[in-house]
Amino acid sequence: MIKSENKISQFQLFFIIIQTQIGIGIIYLPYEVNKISGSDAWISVFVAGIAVQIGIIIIWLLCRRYPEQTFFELVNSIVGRPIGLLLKISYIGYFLISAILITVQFIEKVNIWVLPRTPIWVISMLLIAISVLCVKENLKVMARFFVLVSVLLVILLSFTFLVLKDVNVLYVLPIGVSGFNNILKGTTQSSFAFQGFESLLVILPYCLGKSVGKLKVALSANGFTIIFYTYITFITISYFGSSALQFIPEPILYIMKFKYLDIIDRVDLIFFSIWIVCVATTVMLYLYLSSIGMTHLFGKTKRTTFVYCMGAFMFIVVLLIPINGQVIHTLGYNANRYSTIFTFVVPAILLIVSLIRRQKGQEDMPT
Amino acid sequence: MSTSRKPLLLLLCCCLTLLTSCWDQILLKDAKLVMVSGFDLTKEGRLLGTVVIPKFSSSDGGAKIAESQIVSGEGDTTMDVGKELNLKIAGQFDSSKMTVLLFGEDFAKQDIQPGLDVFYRDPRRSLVDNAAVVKGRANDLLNIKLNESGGISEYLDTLFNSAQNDSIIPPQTRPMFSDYSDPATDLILPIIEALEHEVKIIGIALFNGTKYTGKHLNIDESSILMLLDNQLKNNSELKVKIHEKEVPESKNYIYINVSNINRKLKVNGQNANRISAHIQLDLKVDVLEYSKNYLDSSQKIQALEKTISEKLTAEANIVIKKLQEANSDSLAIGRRLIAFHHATWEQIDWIETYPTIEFDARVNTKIINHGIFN
Repeated sequence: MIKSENKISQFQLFFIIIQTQIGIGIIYLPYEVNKISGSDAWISVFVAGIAVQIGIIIIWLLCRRYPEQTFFELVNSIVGRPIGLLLKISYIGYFLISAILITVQFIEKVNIWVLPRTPIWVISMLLIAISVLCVKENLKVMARFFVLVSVLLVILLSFTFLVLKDVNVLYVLPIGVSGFNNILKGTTQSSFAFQGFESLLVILPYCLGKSVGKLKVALSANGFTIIFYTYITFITISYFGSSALQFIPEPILYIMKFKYLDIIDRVDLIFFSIWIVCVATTVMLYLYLSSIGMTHLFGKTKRTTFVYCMGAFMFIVVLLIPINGQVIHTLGYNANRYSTIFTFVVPAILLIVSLIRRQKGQEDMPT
Repeated sequence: MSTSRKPLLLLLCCCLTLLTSCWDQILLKDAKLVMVSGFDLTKEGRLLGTVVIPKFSSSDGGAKIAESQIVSGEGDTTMDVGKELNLKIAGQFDSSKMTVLLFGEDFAKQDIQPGLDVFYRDPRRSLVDNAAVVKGRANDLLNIKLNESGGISEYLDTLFNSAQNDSIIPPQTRPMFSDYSDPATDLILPIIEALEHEVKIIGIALFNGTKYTGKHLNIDESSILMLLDNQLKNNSELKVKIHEKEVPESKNYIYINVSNINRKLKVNGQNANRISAHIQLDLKVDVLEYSKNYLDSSQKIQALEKTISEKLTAEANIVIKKLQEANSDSLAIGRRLIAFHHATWEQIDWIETYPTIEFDARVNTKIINHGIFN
């Protein structure tokens, strides 16, 4: 059972999902997708987002059957203890690896764009320390923080309006020129940007309100992310053109660097500083999810202890990973491939199994 | 109370050490800010870089540029030149605030891309918002003694800005590489010339890919090119010769200002062997100067509109001919071909096809007002 003071409102759920999804992707999603689907990259991003909507529905259907249980509780009742244990451990691993990977990618970008001479341990310590500080509180406190920093998203968006008058729509025409296959391949490539919706597996039961209402909130939050990412991809392609975009791994920052306002010389640095918060919220939520998992695994220890331990663990692992573009790209590529298992495949299988077994959670009596 | 505050205080003190950002500080006092640089090609084919470093002096109104230090050095690449310059300059040479980049004629004819690479690669460098080709050598231009006070960087920057506002040279809305790395668009840059004590913009240099073609448009043609490209900033003043035999000579001309522009660009490309492009340009103009005739009746105005339209159409077609001769697709006809006739684009080699396509323009003018005098 989840204590009532720990519950979050649906309004807060909306921002938690947005803040978890929008993060590292803003900066290099257009580049990564453009490599594969060229000027149609924005379609790929859009399609990936729609696929994620289906993923959300699957997770919601699964969670609806056990309305008071988080993922870590309901696996046991669906597949039994041994497999449940395996799933729990792999999900904890997945959440933790996601957090580590985002941290590493973040450090690489900070290192290359802003602070080339600052040692890596300092940057990673700053990010991890802030995350730990926030995650050691309960979900309600985190949710409040997420809602608060969402104001920054508005600022981030308003910076991109600077570009609008210089975009050339001819660059995205003709629509569909890269072919169906490439657009589809681009879709799988862009799915990494939407990661974060799987957090619903754990946080959905924390949310107050009717089940259908929660689904609506989750879908509209992801809808916002779809629009946001498609918009970013669209303007970067129509600003640079597909062939020029191949040279720029961080297109949105590049545009910001070129544009300058009379009072602000380097808009990119301000954009970057705001973006840091978006990344931090993503790391926080992943850290939170894995700490919840650990508490379920070892029932007696307090969650905050795990948060500290895992923060330290993350810090050590981050220092062990060599920060260079190639390594990080391979890591990201592989993680991206396997993440689909955790975000789509496992929830779908669990849903099917639970449907077959016709099991229902103890609290949810058939009406 | 005090027991719980102590660890917090300790933590705060520890955090203070993190706030200093001791690793990545770059102090202004150590840096020599380069505001303008220029690239030339030496006779041996090496790169000659010239940089202008303003010396600031404090005066009543704050810091002012008193004089500029001009340093040049030779090298094989841009970085090599930078290293060479650093050996001649006291302090660290820093081009993060650079506003103007100049290419000598020979350098631009060879290829501008190698010179630009480092500006696009280094996150601290500025992304060159004003670039221009120099007729002659950039080094000579940067060494002239200006009549105007202030540094050459400020001077050139304002020079470009005012010409952009008059719609004579293109505004830099995108980094240059996005133009030259696009197979269907060509770059255009302003071309400037050094006079004895001034610098003068003499038109637009036409590029093909990353290379300056050696051909440039004069000022009148540049204004027309900007209009054909649908780029009207604040105003665009055109001189049109509408009579031939008036005495004195100045009665042959009319001066108009374009206040509104409507451009339709249509590219026909169903057939790869017969690609054609047509520009329909509707201008709303104000008469600024016309010493020949009284504009008191609408018949006279209509007749005048007709003559202006004919003359401008002829001039626009000359500009287009020049673009095609230089093989510079700065109006991005190829981009439209990609967008609307993709099958045709796949069949053709645009660099070979572009000069041969049928490309014409038609200008229609409408006089909106003629000031407070007939």
